[in-house]
Amino acid sequence: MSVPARRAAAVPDPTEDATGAGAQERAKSSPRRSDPPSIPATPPVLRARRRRKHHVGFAILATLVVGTMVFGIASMNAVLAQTSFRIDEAERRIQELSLDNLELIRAQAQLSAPGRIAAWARRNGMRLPDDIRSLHAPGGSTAAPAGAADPLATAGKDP
Amino acid sequence: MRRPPLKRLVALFAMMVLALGAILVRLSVLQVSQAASLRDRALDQRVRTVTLPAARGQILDRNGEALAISLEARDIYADPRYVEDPWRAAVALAPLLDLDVRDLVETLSQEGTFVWIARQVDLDVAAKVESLDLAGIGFLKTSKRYYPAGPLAAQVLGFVGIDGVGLAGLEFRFEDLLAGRPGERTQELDPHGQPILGGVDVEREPVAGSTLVSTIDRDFQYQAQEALADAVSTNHAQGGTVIVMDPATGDILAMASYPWFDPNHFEDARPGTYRNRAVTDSFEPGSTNKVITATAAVDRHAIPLDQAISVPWTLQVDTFTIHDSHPHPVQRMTLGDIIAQSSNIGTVLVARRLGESAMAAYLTKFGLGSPTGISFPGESSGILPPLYEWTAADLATIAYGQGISATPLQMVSVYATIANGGRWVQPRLVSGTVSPEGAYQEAPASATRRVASTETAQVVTRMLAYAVDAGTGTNAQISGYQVAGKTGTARIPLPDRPGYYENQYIASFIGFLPASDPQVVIAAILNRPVTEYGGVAAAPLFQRIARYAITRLQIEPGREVRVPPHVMPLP
Repeated sequence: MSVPARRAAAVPDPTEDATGAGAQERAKSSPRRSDPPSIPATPPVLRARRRRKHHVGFAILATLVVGTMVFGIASMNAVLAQTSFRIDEAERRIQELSLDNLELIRAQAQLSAPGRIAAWARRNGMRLPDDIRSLHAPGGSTAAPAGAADPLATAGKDP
Repeated sequence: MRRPPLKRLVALFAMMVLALGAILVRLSVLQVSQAASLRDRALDQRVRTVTLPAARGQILDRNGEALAISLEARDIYADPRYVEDPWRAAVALAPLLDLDVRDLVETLSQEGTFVWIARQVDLDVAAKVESLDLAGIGFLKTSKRYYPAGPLAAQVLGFVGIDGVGLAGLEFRFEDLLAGRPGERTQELDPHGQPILGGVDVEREPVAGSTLVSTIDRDFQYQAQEALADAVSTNHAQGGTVIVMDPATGDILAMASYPWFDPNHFEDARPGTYRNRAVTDSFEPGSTNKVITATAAVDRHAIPLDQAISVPWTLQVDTFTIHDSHPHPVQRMTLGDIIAQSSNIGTVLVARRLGESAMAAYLTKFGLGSPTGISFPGESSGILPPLYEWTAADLATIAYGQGISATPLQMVSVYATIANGGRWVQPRLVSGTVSPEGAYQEAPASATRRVASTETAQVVTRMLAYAVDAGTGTNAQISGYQVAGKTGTARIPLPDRPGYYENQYIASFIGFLPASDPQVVIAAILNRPVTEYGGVAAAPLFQRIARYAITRLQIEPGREVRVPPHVMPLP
């Protein structure tokens, strides 16, 4: 016998008190009588109905819990899958954009290449300045006169 | 019912025992003694490791403009076993890949399981090939090096081979930095090559290469190359070299050697054009070397600056007769006059006062005979004979730049030392790197060393300015700016025996501007120009590049430096 079963046998059913053990005692001590018991027992139909109600409630609860869990797990998987797809898509997009970026760098470098610009400029009549003239402000020159005394020069003669 | 004979049962039992025993033995062999090797073989059949190429870093100019970039491409291969009709496949592929149909048929009909069809194919072309949906044709991801400006700084940048490995120039020198680290993906595959769900799938991501930031100025490089090509053409020269350098930092702003090549199609170029002659080839510097003699003489006070000495036009040294470029009567010349007029005899007389050991010491201090350490592959040391081998004739010829050799880079460093107040600065081609994460790392500052005093450098600068104002370098003059520089016209040694070619010269002009506050040093060298002389062939090339430098670098005129003591009349 399992432990719960033993427990159930040991603990008397309160509803059995009047009809079960008590009646048996009385039946043992007194001659058999057809008197109805003083406290009427719950009809089996009601007991069954009550038990059925209990089972239905449990089933609904269990269904709700399990359903919620299944729905939750399914939703989570769906979200994860969706996120995974989005990550894949983002990675693909990043790769595409990286390629585009490189291609743009190449195009920019090619278009801005000095040779290409110079050729375009020449075609359009442009050229580098022939000469550079600098304008000196009056009194701006600090040049020393030619042949001025040199600090490192020492007197000497050709040997 | 008859019972089976006992013997038969025993025999049957024995046979079963034997059979089971044999199975047991075989199982032991397979599961115990050969277990490891069989496990490995099974794994080898299922597990495949694919290398994931790392993106190669770019090479940028000093302003961040791309000089070399890597683009994604495809290698196309074939497994001839699965090519159904080689002729049909070849006819379809050949025009797209620019290949010969007959060669392609031969390739596709080969024995074996793998043959290359085309390497580094552009993505759009690969897409067209893929759309043909040919059996037995496969694609591998790869990258292709691209040089957007074509032959610009080609010898400096170098190029990358078909396998993505740098083969020359900076691409070769900084291969480890640029290449990055390839990754790999290990997967467990079924016999059809499809990944097994839940099987081994390990990926080590590739690490992209760093970007190299060079000191080259793309626009300046273009102008230098244009000027050089024009000068070679004008002077009917066989080639030439130009170097532009910032004397303060050692940054090389432009470096070109004519003829050059297009690194996008390096396989079509003559291998000789790959060489960066500014760094790898040495030449006898000729009169541009006199600046070293002058510096040594001033620094050692070997001759007073205002002292005039008598200079004949020829001089007997040992068994040789040395002479100046033009006949002249005996002239009185100061050191300033000797440099300005580029007198060989005057320079020899000064060198004799200086002595061999002092001369050799200054040549070494200026860096001749040893590489500059510019971090470029194949840099030449030039040739500087050891002092114990010097004869009297060697002292004389070395003083005016014959009998030794130096690279153009070594010579531009000599003039940069004078421009930099007597301090030698190591030239450099790389100013920094950018990591794949985008962090910029500045390259360490160039090494420096004191060669001559600041006062000496100032005096020599005055002599060089005088050479341009009134000497052999007048063709390098720029109005409003004082240019300091020196011409060189060096004979070219014979390759197989002692002696020199007749009437073949290296013409050069090396100088800087403005003389009072040098911002840029320029070397212009032409190989065998018909115009022969440095002052005629190379000085105008220097002038053209210097003009551009003034606008490009926004160089101010600076103050005028004094003319050195001289006895020869100013023009």
